[in-house]
Amino acid sequence: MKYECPLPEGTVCDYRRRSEQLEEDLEQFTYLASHDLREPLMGLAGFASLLQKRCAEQLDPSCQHFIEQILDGAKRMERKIDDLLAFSRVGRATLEGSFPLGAAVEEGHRALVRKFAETKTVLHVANGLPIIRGDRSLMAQVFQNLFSNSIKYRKKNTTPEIWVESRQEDKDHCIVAVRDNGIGLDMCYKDRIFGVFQRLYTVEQYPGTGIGLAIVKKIIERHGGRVWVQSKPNEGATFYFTLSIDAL
Amino acid sequence: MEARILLVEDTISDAELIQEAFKDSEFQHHLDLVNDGEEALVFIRYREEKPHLVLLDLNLPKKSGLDVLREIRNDPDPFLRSLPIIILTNSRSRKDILKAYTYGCNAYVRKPLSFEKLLSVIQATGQFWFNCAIVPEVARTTSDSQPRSSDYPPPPKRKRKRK
Repeated sequence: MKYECPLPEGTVCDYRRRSEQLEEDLEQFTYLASHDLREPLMGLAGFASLLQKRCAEQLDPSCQHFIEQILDGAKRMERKIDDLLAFSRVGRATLEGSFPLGAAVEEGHRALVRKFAETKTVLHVANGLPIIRGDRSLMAQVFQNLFSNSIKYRKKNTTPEIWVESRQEDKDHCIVAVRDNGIGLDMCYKDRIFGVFQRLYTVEQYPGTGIGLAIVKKIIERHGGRVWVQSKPNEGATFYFTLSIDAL
Repeated sequence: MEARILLVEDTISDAELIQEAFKDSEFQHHLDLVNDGEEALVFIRYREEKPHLVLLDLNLPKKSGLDVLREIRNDPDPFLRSLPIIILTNSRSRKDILKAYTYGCNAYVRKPLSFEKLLSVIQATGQFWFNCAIVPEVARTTSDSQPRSSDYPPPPKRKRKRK
């Protein structure tokens, strides 16, 4: 896209172009890194599993365990690389269009229908969710990640419940809230949880790579909104984000 | 028929694993290996014994797998244009997948991480291409009369110049 800048060099317009360039470079980097980083993995995991297959009889149980560990590490690396790629993809999406927020909620729920059923999680969606400007499938991803998070960090011995509500912030914006009755978190981690590959628990306690909320943040910011959390340990968590309403 | 397969792969360890998987697979084959895109084109164009099937990596030195694929699909020789080409790569990018299919690959496969999965990919490939399907090369060697070039559609016109 050619864009003629009517202002002289060094003005806002120029900065904007430069920052767009910077963002493009960063995405290109993530994209390349995620391909090139996967490349050595096939050798690593491939030969480890070949060893497992061909030399099983010569290896004592502890050696077999070591090979399992290598394979496990390679698998985790692969997931992280794929997640990084998904993260970089957010930046390249186009955001034209509008859709009912309820449709994105439904799509996010549909993607996790088995998880909802297995954990008997109840989803309450408020009436009158607004029409939003942006990309529907990206927003569905936001709800999917938030729901998945709520389910993962549910309380034992309590029926997990999730509430989705929204209210108008001003003429053009709304605040959406996704609340749960899970284990919650200490507010000292309120920023950390949105970082890429940042986790509050070990993989053994709660599996995952720690990219879900980073993707949520990136999608919301890509839509010109902001996202934050309100929570107390053991008292559930509420994720808020702002979005632009499509004028009726 | 002994299946002649050309593997285009620059990562030596990956090539070795794929060769091991071929050894463990149950079909008769002869595997050639080349390490970059230009070498692949020379092999495919000028070797007397053409491969029946090509396993092509995307990220290659000198000439990318996508460029190799496009050149083969635009070759004046109709047999080369119809040569089965399977992309075997690390990339899962939407762009690469769409491009590869648009340029005319026969399948796009992501390199599996475990040897077992790799073996099953190789076995399935052999099973399909050499037990179920008929490879175009067979038409060349078994046809009673020499095919005329008018029997084949002309190569597609290239819209864009290669970078």
